Amino acid sequence: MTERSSHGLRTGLVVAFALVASVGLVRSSDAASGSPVPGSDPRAQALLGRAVAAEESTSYTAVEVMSAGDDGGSEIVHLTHLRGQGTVLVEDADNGSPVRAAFAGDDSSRPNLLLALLGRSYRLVLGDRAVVAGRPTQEVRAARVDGTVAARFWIDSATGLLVRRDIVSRAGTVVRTSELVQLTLGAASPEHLPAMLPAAGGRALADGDLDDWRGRGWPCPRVLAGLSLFDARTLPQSADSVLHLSYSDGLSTVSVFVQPGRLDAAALAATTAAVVGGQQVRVRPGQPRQLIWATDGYVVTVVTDAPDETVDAVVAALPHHAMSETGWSRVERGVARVISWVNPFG
Amino acid sequence: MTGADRHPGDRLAALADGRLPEPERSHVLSHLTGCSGCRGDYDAQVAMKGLLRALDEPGAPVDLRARLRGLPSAAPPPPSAQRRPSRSRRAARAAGAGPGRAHRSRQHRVARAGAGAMTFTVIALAGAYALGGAPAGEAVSPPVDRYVREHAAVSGGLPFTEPVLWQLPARSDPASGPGSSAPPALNPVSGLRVVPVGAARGAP
Repeated sequence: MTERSSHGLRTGLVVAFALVASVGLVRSSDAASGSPVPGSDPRAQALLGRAVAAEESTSYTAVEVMSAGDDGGSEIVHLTHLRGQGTVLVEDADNGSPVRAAFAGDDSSRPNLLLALLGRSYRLVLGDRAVVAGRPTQEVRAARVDGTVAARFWIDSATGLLVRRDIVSRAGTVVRTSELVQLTLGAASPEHLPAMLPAAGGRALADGDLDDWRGRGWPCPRVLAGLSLFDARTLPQSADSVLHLSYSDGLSTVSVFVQPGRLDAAALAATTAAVVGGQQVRVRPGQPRQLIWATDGYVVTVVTDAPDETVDAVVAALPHHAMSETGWSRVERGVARVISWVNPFG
Repeated sequence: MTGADRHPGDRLAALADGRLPEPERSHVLSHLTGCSGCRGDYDAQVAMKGLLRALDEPGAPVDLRARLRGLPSAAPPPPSAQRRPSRSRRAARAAGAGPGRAHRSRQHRVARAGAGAMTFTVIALAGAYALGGAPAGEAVSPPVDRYVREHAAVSGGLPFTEPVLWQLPARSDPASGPGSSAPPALNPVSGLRVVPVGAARGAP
């Protein structure tokens, strides 16, 4: 077998994986609509649009260094991107046996949707020209309404690829940074593929469906701590459905999973208690962040790559007590329970 | 020896502070990808920086704040007010020694009884509220690993967000005996097919 045909077969393999992994996302019309924040520079928006297009037109391999200032860890990920097909990411491991990996199939609609959300949530302006990873770049800044910088992006002048991203807290501290180093342009085959797991299942929900869920008392806000709902679906889960809600502001994504029931004590074994956003939650270690808590009749799990201050706001905005009943109806039920205990004929 | 090959030494602190200029920054980052020792030092410095940042923003514990919110709003009067009773208060105190004292005592008893009844009602309502929680429902253990993958499926592959990696499932390895788990299921790509980890190991 020639090297060329081998490469073609590997590429085909990745395409097959992409088809397995891709999920039919239904976009929320709310998330897609809206106009850019006043004061945004159209050139900055265009540069970020170029970064999206570059991912669709450029193949490359790189090592991505991600550093989270809020928990002090750094991660090194080997990345192989095949244009139009997807990205294979494998965590670097000292012992040669990575425990984490990912495959992201290309979805031409999602990056543009998230770019629209970014422009709707932040004022985008041009920054300085700089050299990053040895390549000339143009900086784009995303500023909050109060003028503080929320993120900086460095776009490669030659290819349009996003080569570095910093997330900045309101206090001006860089809380997360990710940067491509050892960037090599051109088609390459991934050396490994992560074992594929069942594709995201369930049923995508339209806006009308969500109204029904809200009517039944499920928490499904359209906006969560300033992040917009851009995808909603149910996951098949034993007898009851699990609701998967996805929120983003273009910088971070937050997944909220809601399932009916009470939290099983066994589920807490690998977690630690913590106060997040002023609320008691259980936290699982590692990235992305995973937080679990129970409300009356529901268990909520949040999975997110957002910085701490966003996570605090998200957790604080979600219910932690009774969601649909009034306080008086709960008192009545309590009185009825006490009467049933003391009533010998009950 | 290139810039990326040299151990960065003090430059790690500058990198953790975000003060290291290019092209040194790129060299140091490249070095970190291949040097676990320096990476460990860098992680420790970033963690220390995070701890120091947290010290900059002292805040009262949440439970203390909640208790403080629950305190009665009546603050002690300022020292000047405590020092010298007003003329009207002195007059009222003098009136307390007169014939209206029994009447006021009755008023106090009624007030105490009212307060007691109010306290009982509040406790009863609070107890009923506590006992009246929604039916517990089925005990569930959220499959968080699966949720991470679902999160990655929906939000992964976006250029402006961080890539989401998921935990690879451990694959049982017959060669290692029952009950043991081999390295996670990461499949080397070889020509036409994905080679399972166990098979790749067994291959010559």
